[in-house]
Amino acid sequence: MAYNFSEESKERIIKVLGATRTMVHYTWVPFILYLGWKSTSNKPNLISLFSPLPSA
Amino acid sequence: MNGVYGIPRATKQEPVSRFQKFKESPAYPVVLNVSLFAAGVWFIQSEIMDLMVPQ
Amino acid sequence: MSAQLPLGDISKLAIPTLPGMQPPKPQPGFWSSNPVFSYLNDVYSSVSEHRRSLGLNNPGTVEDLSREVSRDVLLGQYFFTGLRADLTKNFSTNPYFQITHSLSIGSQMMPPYAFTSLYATDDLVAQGTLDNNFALNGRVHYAWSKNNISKINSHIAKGQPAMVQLEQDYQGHDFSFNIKSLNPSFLDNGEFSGDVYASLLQSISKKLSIGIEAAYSRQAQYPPDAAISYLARYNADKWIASAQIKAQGSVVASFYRKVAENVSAGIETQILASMRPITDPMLGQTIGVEPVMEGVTTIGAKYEFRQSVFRGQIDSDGKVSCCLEKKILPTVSVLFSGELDHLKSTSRLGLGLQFETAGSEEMILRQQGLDANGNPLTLEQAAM
Repeated sequence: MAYNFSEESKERIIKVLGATRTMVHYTWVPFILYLGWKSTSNKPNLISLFSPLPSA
Repeated sequence: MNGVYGIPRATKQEPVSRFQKFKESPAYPVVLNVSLFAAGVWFIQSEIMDLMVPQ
Repeated sequence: MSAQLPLGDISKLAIPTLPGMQPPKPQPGFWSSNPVFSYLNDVYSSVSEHRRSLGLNNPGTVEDLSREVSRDVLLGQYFFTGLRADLTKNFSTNPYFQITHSLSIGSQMMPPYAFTSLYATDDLVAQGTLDNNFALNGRVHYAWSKNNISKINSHIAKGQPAMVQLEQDYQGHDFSFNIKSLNPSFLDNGEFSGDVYASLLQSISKKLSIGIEAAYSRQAQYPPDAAISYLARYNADKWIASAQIKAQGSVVASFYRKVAENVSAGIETQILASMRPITDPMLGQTIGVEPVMEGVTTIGAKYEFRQSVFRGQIDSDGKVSCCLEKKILPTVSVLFSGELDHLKSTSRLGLGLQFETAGSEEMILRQQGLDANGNPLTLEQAAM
């Protein structure tokens, strides 16, 4: 099970993985908020999405 | 621990009781915990546990 | 291209181990009519026929081998120290969507602030937590079918290597199979590095199930390491016993009993064997190793009342701890946890508040026990 990558492609893979990691790091929580926001009936605005106070 | 390494003892060693020896052996925590587990299972299965149910 | 993959159709494949699935009758043809294959097919169908006739149930996952004791009766994850407040806002129940702000002071485990968002449908769970250092804990579970679930867990923090765990959970008719891999990579000279765990738990009678877990670990520059653990679980309806013998040299045994409708009790014993280096008292050098056995036994009980849950436990190290969760209003709960260490004469305390607020009209009505049309909720709806 040995995949021998050339130095070049290895560097490219590491770069892609690093970019994926950064992207996931910054977009994962906003992405979930978007999914949730889309599914709610009243489409809350940003403030009521984040504020812990009740809103309806 | 003892004189194996040629360390002179300042005082004469106290005679170690058999229980003390057992307590220091690796078997002690095993025996202790196995018996605690058995006792605990017995306790949980016994009627004392049923009495601890609030009415 | 991924849109065209018929991955969601795995449930429709005829897998004879799935509950309620019949293996398809082999079509007569070269592959089934030649003597060798027809014999193998016959053996295969009679084995699966026999397995079904035993009436075995799925034994539950390996991870949940002792869930009743270690995750329900004993304090474990319920214990916390310091002060904390959780402010949860629910937006909808189907799909489930909520956000949580968590504040904590004086805890070694919990960050001072964390924001969690959770989205869940019948087959997808997505959760993300960001703390005040901007470290992300992410989790996705996707159920291809009721029996086949993929999971990804990830931890990403600045200045730390990212942690990714891929997991596949398959629950058959009478067995559970799980494979997971932590930080798998093939970049180190094309060799695999990371950890892999594969486990199988098989019911062998209506009550008894046994299992095995194999672990393989290889990190760059270190020789690979493999280990086997053995598992057993006995569920006699009124009580459940489980045992694990782990390759690292530990034994965990647990016993659970549901004493009454609202009371359950459990005990867990862990015995750990390890090697301790012996140091020469004169030279301070290591001159050998000696086996050391350590063990701890914990016994505890859980009481559920109408508005509160109480957990208490005592262990063989002399620690007495308890945890109380009380709903003081439909939307406010108080948490208390305390621990007294009698041998060390120390204590730890935790006090917390949980608030639940509604983010939509529907949720406000639900908090008052009404459904979206203003009618009282049925019990099943309320439990959702």
